[in-house]
Amino acid sequence: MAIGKTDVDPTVDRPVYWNSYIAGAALGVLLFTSFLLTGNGLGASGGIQRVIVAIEDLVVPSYVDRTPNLATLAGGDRKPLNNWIVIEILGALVGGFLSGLIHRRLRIETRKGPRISKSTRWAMAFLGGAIMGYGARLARGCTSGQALSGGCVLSAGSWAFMLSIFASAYALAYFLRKAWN
Amino acid sequence: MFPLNLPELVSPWGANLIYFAIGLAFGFILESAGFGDSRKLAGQFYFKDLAVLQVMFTAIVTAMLLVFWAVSLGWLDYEAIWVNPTYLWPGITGGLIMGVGFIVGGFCPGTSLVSLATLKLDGAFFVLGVFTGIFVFGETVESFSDFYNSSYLGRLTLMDVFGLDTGVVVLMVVVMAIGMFAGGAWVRDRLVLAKKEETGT
Amino acid sequence: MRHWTKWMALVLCLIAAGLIVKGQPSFETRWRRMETKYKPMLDSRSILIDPGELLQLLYDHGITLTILDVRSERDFNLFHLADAVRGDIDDLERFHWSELPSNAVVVVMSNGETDAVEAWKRLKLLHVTNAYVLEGGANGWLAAFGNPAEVVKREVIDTGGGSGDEVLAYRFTAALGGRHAVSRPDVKLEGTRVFEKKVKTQSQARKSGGCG
Repeated sequence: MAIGKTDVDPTVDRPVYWNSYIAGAALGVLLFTSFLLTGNGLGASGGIQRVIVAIEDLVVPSYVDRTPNLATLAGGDRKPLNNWIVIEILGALVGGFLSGLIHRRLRIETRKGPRISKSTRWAMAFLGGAIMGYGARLARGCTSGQALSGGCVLSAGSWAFMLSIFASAYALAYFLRKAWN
Repeated sequence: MFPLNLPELVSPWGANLIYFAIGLAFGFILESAGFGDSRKLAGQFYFKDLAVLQVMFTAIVTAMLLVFWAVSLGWLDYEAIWVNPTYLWPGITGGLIMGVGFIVGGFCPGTSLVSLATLKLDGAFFVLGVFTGIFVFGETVESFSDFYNSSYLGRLTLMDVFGLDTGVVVLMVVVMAIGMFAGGAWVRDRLVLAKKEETGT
Repeated sequence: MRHWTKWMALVLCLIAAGLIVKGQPSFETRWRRMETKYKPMLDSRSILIDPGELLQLLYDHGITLTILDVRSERDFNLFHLADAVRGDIDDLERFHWSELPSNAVVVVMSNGETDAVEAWKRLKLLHVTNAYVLEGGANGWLAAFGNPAEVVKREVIDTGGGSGDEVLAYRFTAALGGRHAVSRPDVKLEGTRVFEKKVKTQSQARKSGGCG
């Protein structure tokens, strides 16, 4: 079987994705480079949190100053957006866009299982996103910031976190099979 | 010796440029691996598509080998890089919640950004959801801050937990990853066979 | 799995196994790499502070002071400075150094100076910015602030497992730990010392990361 051919969806005309092992190796080299240059791994949800707190700080600055969890990011004259992770997710958006452009995958569409409607898929995406966002802040990081970055430097907490994501997703998968298959 | 102190070395502006470039490569690789597509991501949990497992653990193994070889050769200072501190129970609870979010929504926060960037509407709704979830967390965390800050174990590594040398733990992770690749492929192939028999082809 | 992935799996295992053979750098190796940076501080004694300066720090509310005592548990129980924490030289990683506040000052002490200097080296490799050593150690402290009528030198020195300057030179009839009169001497006693101030607080470099 040829490299990269495994992941083609034959019903849709779109260029194939990279081979998963090659993409993984590229991601690993990037992660290492990030540690070399900056001492940090990669991240996503922390950047989104900072964008939210920055908005709150514009609307209700005194409330932000009184709430400890928010004040550590935007209390007083602290600037929540002045942080590496915000710049990084901006880069990730542009990078994703460029890859979509080059691989001709830029199109307005909804990816969903065949048995559910578009609006059901949107509602589930929104709900799943909310659950995911809440969990990511509770765990102090998402799949990128905890599982990938903490996992590769062998943080014990990151591995416990990673195993619990997979465990809970596999446990629930059966009950939601109609949404995806 | 690495890591570099970028803001001092290339000015804060230069450092931001490098962070942007790292993010750019991150988004590009995620999209190229197919992680902008929620069906591909969710396929992992039905053994239809193993890209999540393969990409993630190949990345971890690759980065881990590079990091610890660099440390071993004296190029990288392990004490100077960020090792996520362990808050055991909040981490596990957060992970369990995120697993639910993954099956319901089909993304994680990073991949949803990439999906949004390629104009996928489900990705856009997911990103909105993530904003909402993080906002709600910020508003409610004060009510359970004891739990949020509990079981704090600091910079705890797997080497500390198992009392093993770094090299041994690294080898264990590599072997485990290969085992999961082989095991995942085995299950996937069995499911394909079973389906073929069912449909009689 | 396809053919080439099997070969890759083998190669990855070999690379990992090589790491076991190579091993991780020991403290000595890592110190040698950083020696040019930190050795001058030791040679010029710019990181050894007088008991008088530590007494000032004990009453200074503008800093967060950590007194790290690396002596044996026995000596620590007999006598130690107020609020000192005890740690073994080879187990300093267990403290959460990376979370020190930006105004943190860490002063290491032993009975003399040898062990404290060893511990200081390890703190530098753990990137503790404002780390100092108490000049003369516990013995120097007791000599400086102990009332000669109450604090008595030992006649026969029982080495208690220590060697060289690392022997507690004073006799204690009870294990008072941090409740000894000399654990937190009166701030006025600082006037009895003539010393050069050496502590300069630089902002403790804070690491950030994860989904920061």
